[in-house]
Amino acid sequence: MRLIIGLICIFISLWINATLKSNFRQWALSPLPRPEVARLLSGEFTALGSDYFLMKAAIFYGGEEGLTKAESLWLSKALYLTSYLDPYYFEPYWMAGSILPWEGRIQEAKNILKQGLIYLPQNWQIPFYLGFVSFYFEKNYKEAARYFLRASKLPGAPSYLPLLAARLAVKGNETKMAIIFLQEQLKRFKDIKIRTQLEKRLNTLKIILFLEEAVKKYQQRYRRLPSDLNELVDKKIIPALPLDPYGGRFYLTKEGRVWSTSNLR
Amino acid sequence: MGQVISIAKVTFKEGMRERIFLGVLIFVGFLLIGSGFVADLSIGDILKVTQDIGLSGLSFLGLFISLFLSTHLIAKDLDKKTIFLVISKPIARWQYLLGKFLGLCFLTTFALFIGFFVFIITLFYFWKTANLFQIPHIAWYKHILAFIYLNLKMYLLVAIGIFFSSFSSSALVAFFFSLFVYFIGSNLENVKMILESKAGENISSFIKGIFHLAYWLFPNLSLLDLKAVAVHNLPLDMSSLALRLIYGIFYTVALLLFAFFIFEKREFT
Repeated sequence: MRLIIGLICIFISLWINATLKSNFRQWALSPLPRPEVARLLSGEFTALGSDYFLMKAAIFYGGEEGLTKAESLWLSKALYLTSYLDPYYFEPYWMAGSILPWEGRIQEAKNILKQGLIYLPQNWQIPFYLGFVSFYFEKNYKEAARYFLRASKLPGAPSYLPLLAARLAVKGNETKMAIIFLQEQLKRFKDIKIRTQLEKRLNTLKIILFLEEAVKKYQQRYRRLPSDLNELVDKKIIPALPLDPYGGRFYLTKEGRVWSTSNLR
Repeated sequence: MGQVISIAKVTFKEGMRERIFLGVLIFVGFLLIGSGFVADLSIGDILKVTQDIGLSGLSFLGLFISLFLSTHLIAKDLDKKTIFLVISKPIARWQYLLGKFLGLCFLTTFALFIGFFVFIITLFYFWKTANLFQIPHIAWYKHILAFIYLNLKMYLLVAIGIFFSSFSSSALVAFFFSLFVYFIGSNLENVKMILESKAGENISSFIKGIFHLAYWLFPNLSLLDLKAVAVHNLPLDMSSLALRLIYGIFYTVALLLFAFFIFEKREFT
């Protein structure tokens, strides 16, 4: 009799557990501890805490299509926490450099990366990321050139870096730079979770580059900028206007650059 | 010396017979083997996560065995009155404690060695089979160094456990005192960094004073913690390593001498 009641009780609790729906967003976006508190509570196991929060950030970012403001703030805080708990860990810097600026968290990304400059002074990728953020998002070409030069002097840096630093003076290479940058970042990881997101961005940038080159052709032929991108199709420079994988619409800026209404987010 | 060795032998056998010893060893064994699979959830350099879990698991194993068994075994002798059998023999009380210490140290090293062996094998396996573009460099000899210093840290913890057992008759009280000291000792460096950072500017000087006192008094266990050095292959200089070694040994010896002193004066009922 007692055994039967016991079995019924365990069955009911198992059933309750199975029916309660766990919410992925709720779990992933749960409040983060203050970095100092996390450090004290984890004692000698701070590295494990760092691994845990990075894992959470990676799983969260991999499972999302476009982040809201609150979500990108959460991500930047999680990455800061990760790099605070284990400042010698490269991956949080990589994530901060390759994801945060695109989500509009430029200053947060730079703060995390600057910490990386202190702890991993021999790593060329951290100044490289910082240079890219300055160049592409802040249009601060002087600072960008300084970071690229610094990166180019470190072991393992690609041989094109000094050339890149020199070319920064030439305006209008933003899209090409972004493509080089993303390809460099994709070289490091095989993880499908994050790669799909970066590859989507890379493909969109390649489309933008294709459109910008078409605009240049138009300019050479007619000695002026087209009034909008549809004119490229009308004059048969491109067969059709490509679609933005992010669901936005490509348009021409006043400076002759191509961008999308989706902001690639 | 012969008596000390025989007490150490008995302690080692006694510890091996504790079921909890086996339980913790099996748990950590699973943890170490599973570490690579857990690490697969992360991104990028998953071997770093494997190493973190492995070294932390070893630390946990040593922590549990050194603190729990050091307080438990002495209290058991007092509780079951087997201590009278020992002190009625021509053995000094300090010899009894020293024997306990050596036996427990040997036990801890034995368990840690098994754990380390499993860890290195798993790490090697995941290193060889890792699906990464750039296979990271692993500082094997620094792992061995971290293992040696981990042992040293555990000896210090055994000495802490014995020190508290020398005057407390309850195993639980001695255990929690030791755990408390461990918690403070492993956080001293963390608190120091926080106090010196921007976050520490608003903290009152009174609290800072208390902390400085604690910093001098409690054992700074993070000095013997080389986990980060091994995982990130950080540079090490020999003089700092030697100083850390001397620190660990001197602190352990001091605690043991205090424990001998208190234990000599103690009345058994």
